[in-house]
Amino acid sequence: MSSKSKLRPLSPYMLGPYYRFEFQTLMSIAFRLSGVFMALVLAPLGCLWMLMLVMGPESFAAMQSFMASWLGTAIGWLGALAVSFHLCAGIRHLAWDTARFLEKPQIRATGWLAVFGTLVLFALTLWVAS
Amino acid sequence: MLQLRLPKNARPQEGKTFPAAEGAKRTKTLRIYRWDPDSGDNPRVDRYVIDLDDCGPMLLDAINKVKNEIDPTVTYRRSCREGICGSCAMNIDGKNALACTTALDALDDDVTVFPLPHLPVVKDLVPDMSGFYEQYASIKPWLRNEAVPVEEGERLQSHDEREKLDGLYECILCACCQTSCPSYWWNGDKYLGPAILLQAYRWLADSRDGDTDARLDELDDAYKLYRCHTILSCTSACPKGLNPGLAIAETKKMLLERRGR
Repeated sequence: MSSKSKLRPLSPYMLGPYYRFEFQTLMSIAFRLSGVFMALVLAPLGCLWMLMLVMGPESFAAMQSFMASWLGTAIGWLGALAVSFHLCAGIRHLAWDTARFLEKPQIRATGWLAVFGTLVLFALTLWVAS
Repeated sequence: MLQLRLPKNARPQEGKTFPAAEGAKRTKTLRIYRWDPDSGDNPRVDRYVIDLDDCGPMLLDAINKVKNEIDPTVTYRRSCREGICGSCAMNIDGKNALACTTALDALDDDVTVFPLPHLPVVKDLVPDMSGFYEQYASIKPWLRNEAVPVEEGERLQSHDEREKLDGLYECILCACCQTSCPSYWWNGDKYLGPAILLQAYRWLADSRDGDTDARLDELDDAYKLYRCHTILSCTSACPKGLNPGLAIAETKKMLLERRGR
């Protein structure tokens, strides 16, 4: 890189102010966010839950009361949403890895199918939980 | 690398406004990105109000009008004005496209005209594409075949074999897809990007090419190919209606099938 090109400003690119958010971009970002949420929050929480169960009735009761609190409930619902979405969008990505469903109309259609599937799974979770 | 803000010297500021000619009834405002390498100032966004009744139908016509009649210092690339050279690729209203094939009718009254995203700007709407061309050269984009053709010195193809190149050979290397790809923004130094990978697949799909294994070896890399996370901004952006996302998926599939052999 020459000294001149160091002075050259980088052309604007950020999603939002400079590049349009489109359906496929939002799906991709949501897929990543749900994955990160599952890995950083849901999985450690599940391990902690089992650990507290192994440690005895008092610790398990404490864990249960945390999960019944507003924060625990919120994590539970967000988790159900994240798992539902990540599953549906993940199946879409697996299908893409076989080089299928990649025509433009199919990208849109499978995207909406994944959103619809997420809502169905989430509604099922709501129904089972209530 | 992921950056959420532009570097200080790259943040565009509000610039000047050039009103339309007197008596203009139907107008559109072009908000054009300007950067002058001689001034040392930050980039700015100048506003040019265009009289639509005295202008051709395409965005390129409007930009030509700005240069010819309002402000001759506006700098951009253009050549064929019919979507075959790929010179006038730019970020139009937040999406990459060719100015010459974008109808003014299809745009809002306030149109942002920026250079292709995440490239060093040479001047105004002219980005430095040398990295892109180097990446193109790196895949050795020509017929690689040491075998001597048998019949009359030509490498013959069946209709079916020729058809496999449809949707690939039409690429004009305008870099609309390349610079729409968030993965390419973050890792453009190592990731080849959708345009180059479509070109690479163009040779993988060619029955006359004899270097498939070496081509696949070159692509089998965590960055060069596998930084594609199938976001598919590329396929959405291509002004020629091609499908780089599909070409990349086919390439990954070829690698997987080769491993299975």
